[in-house]
Amino acid sequence: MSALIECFLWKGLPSVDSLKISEDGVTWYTITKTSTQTVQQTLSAFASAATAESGLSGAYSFDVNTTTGAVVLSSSVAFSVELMRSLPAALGFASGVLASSTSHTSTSTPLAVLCGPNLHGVNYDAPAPVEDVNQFATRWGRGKSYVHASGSQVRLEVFLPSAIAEEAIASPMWSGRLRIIPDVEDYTTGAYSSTNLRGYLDCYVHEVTETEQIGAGKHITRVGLLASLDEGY
Amino acid sequence: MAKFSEVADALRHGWSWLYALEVEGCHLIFCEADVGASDPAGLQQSATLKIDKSAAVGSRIDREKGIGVGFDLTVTIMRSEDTETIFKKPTKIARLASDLTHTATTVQVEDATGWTTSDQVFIGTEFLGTAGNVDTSSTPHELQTVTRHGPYAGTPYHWGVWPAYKVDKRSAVATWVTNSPLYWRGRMVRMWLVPVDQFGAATGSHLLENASLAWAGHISTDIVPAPDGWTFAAKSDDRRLEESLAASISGTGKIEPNADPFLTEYPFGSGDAFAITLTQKSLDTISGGAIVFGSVKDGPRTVTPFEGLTIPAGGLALSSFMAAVVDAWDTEMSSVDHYGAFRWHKTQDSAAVPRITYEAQVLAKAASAAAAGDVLLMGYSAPVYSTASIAAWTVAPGVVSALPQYISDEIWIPIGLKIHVTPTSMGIRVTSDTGDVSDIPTSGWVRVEFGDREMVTKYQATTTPGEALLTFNPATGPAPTALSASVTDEEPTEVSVEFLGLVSGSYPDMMRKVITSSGRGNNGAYDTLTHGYDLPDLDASTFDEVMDDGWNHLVGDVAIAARTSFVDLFGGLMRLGRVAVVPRTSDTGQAIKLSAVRTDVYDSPDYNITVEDYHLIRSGGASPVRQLNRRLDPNHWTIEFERGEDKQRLIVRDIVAARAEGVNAGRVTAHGLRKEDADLTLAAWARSSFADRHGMLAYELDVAPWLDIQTGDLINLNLTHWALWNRATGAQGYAGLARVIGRRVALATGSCTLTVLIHGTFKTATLAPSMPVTAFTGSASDPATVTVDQKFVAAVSAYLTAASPVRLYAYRPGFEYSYSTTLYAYDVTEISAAGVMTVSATVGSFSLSSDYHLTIPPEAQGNTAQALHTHTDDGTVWR
Repeated sequence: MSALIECFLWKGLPSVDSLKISEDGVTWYTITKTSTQTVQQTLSAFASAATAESGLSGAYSFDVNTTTGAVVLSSSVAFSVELMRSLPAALGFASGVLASSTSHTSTSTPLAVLCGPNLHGVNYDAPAPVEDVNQFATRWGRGKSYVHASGSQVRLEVFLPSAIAEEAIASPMWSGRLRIIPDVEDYTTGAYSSTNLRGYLDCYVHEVTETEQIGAGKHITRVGLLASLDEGY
Repeated sequence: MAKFSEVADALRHGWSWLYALEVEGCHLIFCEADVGASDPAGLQQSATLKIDKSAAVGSRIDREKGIGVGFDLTVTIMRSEDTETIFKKPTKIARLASDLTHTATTVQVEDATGWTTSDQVFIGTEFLGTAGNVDTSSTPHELQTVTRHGPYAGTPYHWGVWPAYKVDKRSAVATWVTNSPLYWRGRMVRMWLVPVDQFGAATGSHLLENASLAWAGHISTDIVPAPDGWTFAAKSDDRRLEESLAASISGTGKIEPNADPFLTEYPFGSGDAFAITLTQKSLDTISGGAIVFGSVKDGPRTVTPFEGLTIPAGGLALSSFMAAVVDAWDTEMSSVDHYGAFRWHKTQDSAAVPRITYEAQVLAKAASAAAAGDVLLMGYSAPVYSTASIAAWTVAPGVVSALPQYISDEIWIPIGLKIHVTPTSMGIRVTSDTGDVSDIPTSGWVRVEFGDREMVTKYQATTTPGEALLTFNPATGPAPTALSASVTDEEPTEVSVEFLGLVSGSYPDMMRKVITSSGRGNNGAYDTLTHGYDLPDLDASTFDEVMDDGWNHLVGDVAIAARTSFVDLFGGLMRLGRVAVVPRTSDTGQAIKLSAVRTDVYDSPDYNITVEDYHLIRSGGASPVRQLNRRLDPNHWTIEFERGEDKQRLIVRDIVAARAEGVNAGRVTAHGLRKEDADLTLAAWARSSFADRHGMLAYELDVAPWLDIQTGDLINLNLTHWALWNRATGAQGYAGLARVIGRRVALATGSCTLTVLIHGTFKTATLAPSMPVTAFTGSASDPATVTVDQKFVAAVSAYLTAASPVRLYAYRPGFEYSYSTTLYAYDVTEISAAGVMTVSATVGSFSLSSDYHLTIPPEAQGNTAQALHTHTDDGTVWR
């Protein structure tokens, strides 16, 4: 059983929405996402758009390797990539400019998607309807979430390798909208519901309630989260 | 640029925002943090802004004043090398040597010694740019080729761009030209909302590329020291409308018993332009001092030198008329040889008839040594004219038959035209308290105070060096006895005068003029007054949209006294007409413009957005929905009409309500209007307000900031919160329309609070539209598209949002009213911004033409949006 947590990458303003691809190192094609999607959906959309681009000859495949936790950008032909703005950090690339190759693999922890060795597991109880969900509105430097007046709330425990915990906890993953797949090998399509208990969980994180290093050598860090289910939007 | 709601929407996805404060005439943009963004052109980031004590910013309509009441912004600027530099005293300072226009690129100063071409040049609240050249050899010295912003071309200023001002060298605050800002109070500020992505990075090519303008106003305090920096507060632009216009100046004068009379009509009559027949004779000989005339030279000819003269609306002072006659003579005679200058020769009549006579004379043009053959003389003829104040035009046709002996002298020949002036009105000879007589407007309203008397009247001024003579229209001005009392009684003849500002036109136009006028004339089409608030960012079209024909028929002539504000002038009628002026963000998020909005609530399909339960948030532990105590509308209105000395009163009351509840009085002033011109409109407005007295409830709602809602919007509520209740059904919650009369955002948390009005016992609703067909394509019996006026796009779009296709009915006004005979249905699938509807199907047979109108169908064939018109009747509609 292996879990996967990924951010929704927002489309509204330029940030993690575009990359450039060139097969000859001279002519560059800009690929831009068209909607707010998860990291995996975004990578798939980028690959489809690149494949469909008439100026590019390769068949592209961008995905997350759930075994290694790395993001892999590959094609049938060698290609150079320029990841725009914050996309390198989101996908785990140290640099935004990747030299020509048929495959590019992230070299650091992708901060917008955790799986494989970067995520030991996720526990959560069944989401429960509540009145007056912990509602607050904060901004710069103090958290960044909003929730609605009543809805379904869930408490989660996320287990991370302590080696990456500090960087991961400081990442934007815990301040926005997440998709949590408890078991990437065994889940059913669609969102969690009373009739689809093995579905993924889309939620907004309200706050990180606690962090604790546990286990022998304290190699595991437990992160407590309070989140509400994604409804109404 | 992005809208506030767009930037706020990013919060839900892990983004954040920071504030950046831009100050007029300052090259620093103060930010909360350095997020690695590039500087916008012309600005330098300084991560020194701290916002932690400011109240929420935004605006809430005060329905009794007719404006939004914006909340102050309070900020702290932290101490740094940059901020110390900008706040410290300038190191170079020079006195302005001549008035500076808003387009000038050379600044004349008394002493530019020590200035260099790298120096930045500031004056008043404006940064003029860097001096391209410094000339200390000229007199006065000059700082040359500075780069001014503007002139304003009617589009919003954007980041880094501020207006260029006219600066009078007499100004107490703008006299000084400096190399850094000298003072801060009064400077405009803009606060930008800068999106920061999940990874802490700004987006775009520079800091403000994707920012939204969150607030705009003016610094209202001095810079005050605070721990680790300085603090100041700023007022939003709508609060400026409560401040005095400073449109008037004062003067000191003396009563002038024999003043300029006032002409209200052209003395020669239309088309009877005082033709003068000229007879030119040559000089034959001079014999023993006697002149012997020879033949007629060039023959008799008729000239009409005063044909182009007209009397302007409102009249003309006699002195101005006489000056114009002279100008007209000079113009006409410039092409005629041998005739000299024209003058009005003043003589005193006999003591028995205390009047003054002005006689028209022309100069016989002759060489200094006249010789035979020279042309000297003329004949003349003219009509007769008389008025009450100008006793008569005396005309005595004839020919001058002799000349004095020494013809080289100036010989003024009377041409038979005389003006006898009987002093039936008086004037006031005035000096300006500013010391500059040119500050006195050439015409307008003046308040005259002498002894215990006071009068407000129209005047015309004739300016002479050092003073101006004010004269009054005999018909509407003060009676001579009113002024002569001060001459003949023991009261002093010295009077105090206040020249009032003047704005004329329809009420919407006057409002726009007062808001935008700068004295420069470059703040858009309504910048026509010498004094206004100089607020360039005005959404002028909203005044046309919100203020209908009832407003445009209110045409006034409003005098603006000292200590008079926009609210004083227009707030009364705005309260009665239920409109307000509030700041609203433009569609691009680039500008905040003062806009006219409605303040009442009614059902209409073109509401802005629907607020659901999940949009409510709780901020600070309070319930997200709170009922407010709404101040009851009056049941007894007193409308006071005030136009100069002319004052009248109109009372509109709900006597039953007054007896039952006691009198709840409301009093408004209709400035510049006479009762007979506006009583019907204003009485209707007052009466219509009685329905609202039990018709509205007020609430505050805390909602998510990414809802695109602004003050003045009509929104749809679909809430189940217990604090809301439907007065029509008694049920908990409320599903229906609401008017947003306030919106404020807590800067520290981003939470957004709306103040809304909702229907109470009664509902009001908009009438169903009647849309004339202006064009169509396809055949008359089966049109493909149908075009209607653009103003119907919002309503039809709302119908289509509710359900598509939407059914509309076509009918011909005046024909038989029957759905089965003259009304035909269209299924419309879309409407463009130009009002072109795409027709997917028609029902019935007909021949479409421009005689047809479109309207909504009967209830059974309409949709939920169409049901928001009064066309439907659910028993709660107020008709």
